[in-house]
Amino acid sequence: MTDCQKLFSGISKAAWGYFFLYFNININNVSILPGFVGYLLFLSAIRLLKEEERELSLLNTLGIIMALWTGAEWLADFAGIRIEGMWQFIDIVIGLINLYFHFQLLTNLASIAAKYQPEGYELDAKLLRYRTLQTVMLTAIEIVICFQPWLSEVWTSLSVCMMVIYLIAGICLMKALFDLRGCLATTVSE
Amino acid sequence: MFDLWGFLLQTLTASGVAVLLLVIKALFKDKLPPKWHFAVWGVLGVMILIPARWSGRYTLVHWQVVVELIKVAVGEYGFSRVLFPIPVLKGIPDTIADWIFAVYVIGVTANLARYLISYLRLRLALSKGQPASVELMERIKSIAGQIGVKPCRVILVQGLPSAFVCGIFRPVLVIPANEGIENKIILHELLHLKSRDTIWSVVICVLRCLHWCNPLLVYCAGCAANDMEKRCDQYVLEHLEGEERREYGHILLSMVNERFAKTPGTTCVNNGGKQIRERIETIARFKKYPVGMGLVSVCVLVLLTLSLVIGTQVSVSDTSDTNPVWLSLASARSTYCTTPAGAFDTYAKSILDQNGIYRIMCASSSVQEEIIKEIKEKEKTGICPNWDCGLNEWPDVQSGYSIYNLKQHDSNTYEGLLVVKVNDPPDGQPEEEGKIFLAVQNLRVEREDGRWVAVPLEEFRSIEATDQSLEWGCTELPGVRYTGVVDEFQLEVIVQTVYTVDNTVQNENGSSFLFGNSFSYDTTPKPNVKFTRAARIQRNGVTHLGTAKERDFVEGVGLSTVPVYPGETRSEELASPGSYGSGGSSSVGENWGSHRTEPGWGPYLEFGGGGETVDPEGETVLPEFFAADFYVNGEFVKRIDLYPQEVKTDDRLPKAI
Repeated sequence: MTDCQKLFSGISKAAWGYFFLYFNININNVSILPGFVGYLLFLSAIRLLKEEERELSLLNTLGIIMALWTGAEWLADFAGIRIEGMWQFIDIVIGLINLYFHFQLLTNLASIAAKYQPEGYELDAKLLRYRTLQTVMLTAIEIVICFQPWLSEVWTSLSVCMMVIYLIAGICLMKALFDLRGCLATTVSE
Repeated sequence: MFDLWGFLLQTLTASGVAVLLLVIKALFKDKLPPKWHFAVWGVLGVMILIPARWSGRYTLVHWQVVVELIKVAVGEYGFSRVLFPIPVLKGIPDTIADWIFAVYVIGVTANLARYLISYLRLRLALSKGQPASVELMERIKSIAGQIGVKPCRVILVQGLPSAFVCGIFRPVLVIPANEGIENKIILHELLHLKSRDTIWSVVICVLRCLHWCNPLLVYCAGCAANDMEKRCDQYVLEHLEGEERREYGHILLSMVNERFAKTPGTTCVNNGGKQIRERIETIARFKKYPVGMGLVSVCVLVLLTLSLVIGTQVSVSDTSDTNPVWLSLASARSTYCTTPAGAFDTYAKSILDQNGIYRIMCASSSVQEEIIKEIKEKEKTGICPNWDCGLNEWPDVQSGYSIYNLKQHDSNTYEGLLVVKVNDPPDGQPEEEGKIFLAVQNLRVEREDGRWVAVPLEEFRSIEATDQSLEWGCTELPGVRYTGVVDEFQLEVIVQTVYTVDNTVQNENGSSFLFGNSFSYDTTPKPNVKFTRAARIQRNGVTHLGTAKERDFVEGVGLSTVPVYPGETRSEELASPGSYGSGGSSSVGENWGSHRTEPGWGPYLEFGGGGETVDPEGETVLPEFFAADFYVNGEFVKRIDLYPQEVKTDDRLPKAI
């Protein structure tokens, strides 16, 4: 596989990884787009892109932890058990890893975009903007969850509002990644 | 912290946080900048200074269960509570636990004294120092100018292995007199000065003294001091280029300072071999962090702090009777009521479920020992239920409970009448159609050591009542009586308030296509609940005070009333009671009715009444008086005001209205 093909494949996997994270279709409480598949795609993307962006290798351990945890959640859903919220210790660790993982991954993907996007495109700036928005939104969502017992009156409207913003940001992010993939596809075909 | 148990709770809570921080720091070791690694210790500092379970919630691990287990095992039944994180001896030690606490307090004092002496010794050594030469001062001013810090006083002291900054209010840069000093070291110390690290060294020292007997927290204090150094190393490396960075590592090796190690108010840390190695490893990993790293660092810190400070709600499931009784008891003592409604609900559930474990959750410290012994005794002999709640009949669980006439005495005390329906008539009485039997008990709920406890004020009493929904009042139960006399008639308005908590729960497997979802009454206590519904109900009545013969001349009676609340003025116009047999009520609480009497009536004639739901969270305000218009035989007799009667002790007891 050439370097360009690796880049193309890596960016494709990262883009599809976000698809699995952002969309959640359930059948009998079990997701058919499980999050752990998203993390496995991210891990594969990291393996393909780490030569281009050395710092991506920092995310390997965190990616494995996230894949294991989301996999455990998915299996627990099968058994009708909800493990999220069971142990505050693990919830905090996972919440922080999640925050950092996506921040660093998107920073590195933006750096790749800066190098390979054709002139006139601003995919790197877009990715950095969505990265910042995603980090702020993830933090805000976690903060709101912390204050849930005191927000019962506005809980539904607040959570729906935040989820809509988060989802829109996610769709924009995926579009930017697929655009980058399109740019790389042209390079590969050339 | 007034006792050993409070200290144990505080130090165990802080230990849990310390373990979490060590795990997170290990995960982000090479990912987040040294500045973040130092700042994250602030979270531990905050958790050490916030009283454990300050809001009734716990952080990471429900340590109070462990504390209560030990406590009950040594025969102590009082409540554990941390009011503030500083230990205070309340008196001469009495028990073994008190003596251990006294030793801990002495340890805190001794450690503080040790550090104070160390600081004074250092100040004495500094008093013999020489001022820096003009050339050295110029160098220092030049470096300080580069990093934008105002240079402080500089002195040279003989026999020091390394430079450091000393003092909080008037800091001094201390430099070894016997050898030349590198600019990198001056830069490092000036960065300490810029970050006001002498203040942080005092904070770390005080927290280390507070938990001197907890090796984990002492270790974390050392890590925090070392992270403070790594943060300055990072700043220095950002100002250096290529080969200079390697030289900086070599210089670090020569900076071992054991003489004034960990002295508060200075930037001297115990630069032992392991810590120097860690710092050199950090230097080897040096990189400039990308723009935006500050955002994720702050987000991680904010999330971590909020999650830990807010903590987790205690789950009542730990008190489940599927657990061993010793664990359920310890969990119950740790799961206390945080609201008055929570205490009423928990007490009522202990009655409905005949469960002593629930009673422990809302029992005052004075009766804890007695109830625990009873539960343990019955557990041994296999007697069920495990606690005698004082109810002679089985309660009708699915009918739940109501609190009548809730009254707030002050911000720490509430009183109300607990009403539960029982399945069978008391003392083997025959059942009667259209009748139900109630068990009632006056109950006080009060604040004790930061938790709400329920104190029964009397034994349960049995009341026979007409079959009705208890949520809309009950004629057989007491209320506040407003009365006034017109000729030979006593006019009366009875006002009841009824408070309830929504305890309906959907049955997990109770959904049916034809009949929809099925619901039942949840008997699990809700120690943090608030009342979800409150209703104010009033009933009007007239009692003839004369003889039966005199009553024969009364062919009809009419009564209109309207409540007048404090601050309101009496209404001039009251509704007419209308023709015989009519009646009604309005949204402002006005009630009217007119009755034709039957031969041989009386002496009491009830007019019915009305009610409204009120804010269950609002203060219960009762009318100051009722304005009433009274009619006899269809003619207006008199307009009078009905005032509440003073409630005597006996009036607490239910009586037929």
